[in-house]
Amino acid sequence: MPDSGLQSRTGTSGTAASAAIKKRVGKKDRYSKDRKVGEGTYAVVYLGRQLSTNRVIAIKKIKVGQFKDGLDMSAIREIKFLSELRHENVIELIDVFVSSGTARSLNLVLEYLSADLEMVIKDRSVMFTAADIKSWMYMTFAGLYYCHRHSVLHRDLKPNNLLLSPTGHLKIADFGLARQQPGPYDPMTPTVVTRWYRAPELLLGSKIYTRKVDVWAVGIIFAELMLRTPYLPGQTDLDQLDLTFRAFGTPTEESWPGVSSLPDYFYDPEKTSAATAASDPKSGIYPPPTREQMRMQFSAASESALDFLLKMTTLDPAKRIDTKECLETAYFKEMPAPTPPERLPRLSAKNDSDPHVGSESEGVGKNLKREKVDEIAEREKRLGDVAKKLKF
Amino acid sequence: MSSTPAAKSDDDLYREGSQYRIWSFSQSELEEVRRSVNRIASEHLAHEHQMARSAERGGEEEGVKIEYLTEGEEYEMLLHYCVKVQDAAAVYKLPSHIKATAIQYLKRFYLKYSLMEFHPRNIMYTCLFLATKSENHFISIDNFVQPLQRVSKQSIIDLEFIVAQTLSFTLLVHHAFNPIHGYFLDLQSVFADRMDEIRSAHDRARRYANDSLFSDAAFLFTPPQIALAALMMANEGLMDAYMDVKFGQNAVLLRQLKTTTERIKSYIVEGGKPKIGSERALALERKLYVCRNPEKARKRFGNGSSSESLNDSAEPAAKRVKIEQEDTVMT
Repeated sequence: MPDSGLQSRTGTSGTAASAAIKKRVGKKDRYSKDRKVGEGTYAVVYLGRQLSTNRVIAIKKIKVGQFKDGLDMSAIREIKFLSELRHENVIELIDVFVSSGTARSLNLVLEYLSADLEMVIKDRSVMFTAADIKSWMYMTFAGLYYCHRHSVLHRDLKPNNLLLSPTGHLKIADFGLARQQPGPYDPMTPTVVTRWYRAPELLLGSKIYTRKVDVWAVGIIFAELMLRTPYLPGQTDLDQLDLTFRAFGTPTEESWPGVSSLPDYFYDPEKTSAATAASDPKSGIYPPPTREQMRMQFSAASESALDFLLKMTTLDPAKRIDTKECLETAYFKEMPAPTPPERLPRLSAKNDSDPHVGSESEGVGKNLKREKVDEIAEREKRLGDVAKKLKF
Repeated sequence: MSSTPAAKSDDDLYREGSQYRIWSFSQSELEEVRRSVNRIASEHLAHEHQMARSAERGGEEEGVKIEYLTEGEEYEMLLHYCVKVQDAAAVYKLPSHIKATAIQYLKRFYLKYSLMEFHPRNIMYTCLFLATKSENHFISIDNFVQPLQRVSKQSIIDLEFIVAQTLSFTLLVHHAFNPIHGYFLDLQSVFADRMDEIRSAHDRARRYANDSLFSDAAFLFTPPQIALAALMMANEGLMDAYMDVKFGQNAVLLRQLKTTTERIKSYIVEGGKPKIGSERALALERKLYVCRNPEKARKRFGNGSSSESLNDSAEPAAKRVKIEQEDTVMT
């Protein structure tokens, strides 16, 4: 059982000041830790209860002792942003407390969420409809729009960070990579977002990027929901770039002004034209997909669903739509209407037991071996042929 | 799915945030908070010192009255340490917003505790260290303490928990620098032909925003309000014209803005004034030392009237370390 009080220490003014701390910082609620449900490199997740209300909660206990630099950066980011964000589609941070004892640790008390979108996508016994997908997409964008209005970039959106409550509500979780949109010229690291959901500007090494990286990720999640399999499961960063351009066309200076000056852009701008792509299929330069190809690939999608997908996955981030435009798009207005959360499909009972608080204890790693290694090698070789320089 | 996302204004969003919910006050509330922190700490210390004396001397009252810091003195020292944060931030070449965040952490911390409970020297470095992390500018603890002479790694790591908890884990701080940049861009679109003037107003306004860090402005006003006041101070003519263009249609709002910015100006001017000199700082440090460690002070200085310097750096190293440890384990 954790103790939210501070260690009492001896010193010039021992216990009285310690009592004063408790009094002034506020005696926090107490929680039970009922069982361990996950363990990652920097946190252990427990299922428990808030004793005053008997509410079921998840406790993400961050192992602090092993970090010689004090409070862990991911934990700080998560606490910093979740303390500010209050929205029905963003995971609720209920409390933070410090447990004392030999190994001091930081505990994030989070709302209990029984499943995540990745589990639903993978559970073959679960059937879902276009209206269900629309509902998950709407809730994702409602939460993401709210984050973006607070200038918070999530930077790690993927199906297993979109958690589902027992009432069917979707909540964006895991803000361990989040940050505020910096000033227009402040660089950020491009090595964010799990590879399969990484926007092309990040793959090309751009250090100046915007909220649009999150929109791209949701676009790829949308495709995954429709296909029920990861859409662009790249094995390496280079492979990811190749898959991305095969799906949406190799960007050119016309389609994406400035693309050739991005740090890791290695194509010859002279040759990356639509003409090359059309005339030489072996060039590694891909033309944008035709409407017909998109229809073939996403056979169940409506025309406005396809439009929406293409707008979210526009290569040039300046032309990609933002979250506000996403919410206003025709896709959400046409029939069928989104399924009400409480009527959304659930996991089959055997899978619906453990709480999830983000990708910490789960990983996409287990999916990475899905594709045949020689296919990837071949794609990379093709790409290597057109490479001017390789900086991956 | 009930919410219409566009319904909330920027002001609504700001009011949902911790800076408004937890860390905004009226002038009288702020004074009351500081008065109460000072009173509670003085009473605690007086009680404990009394207990310690009775235990040591079998109940025999010595009659020595310890002078505790007044709330005014605490505030003087706090601002003195805010300047020290600024100096330290310069050592690591930290950007303005990180320095500003650290200063705000420090000021917030001392709305919960008295300087007599936690010595500001250790707290200020902890605030700075925490600010580098929360603002995504990680410096390892080894590199962080490397230029510091009297601060141990462990004291910072130990206090980091206490500081974060005292701040109620609200680590996001909004400053006037971003809104100044926003106005800067908007000014360019309104007065495209006054670029040089706009640029120099922007630079001066950033310095005024910096001055505001050494006042209570951030507890009393919103960052865009402070930004507007800083720009008004930087170039009143330009900003009058700008505000006429923007808010000319709304006389009530315009008058409100002018009244508010006038009030903020006085805080900025106050914040920009030089802080206490080294002599005054030393006297306050000494008084702080005595009220934190009355027994030791008595042994070292007799009953209060020694002229021996209390400058810590003049002490032997071993003793210094000890004082430092005492400071950190104060609780």
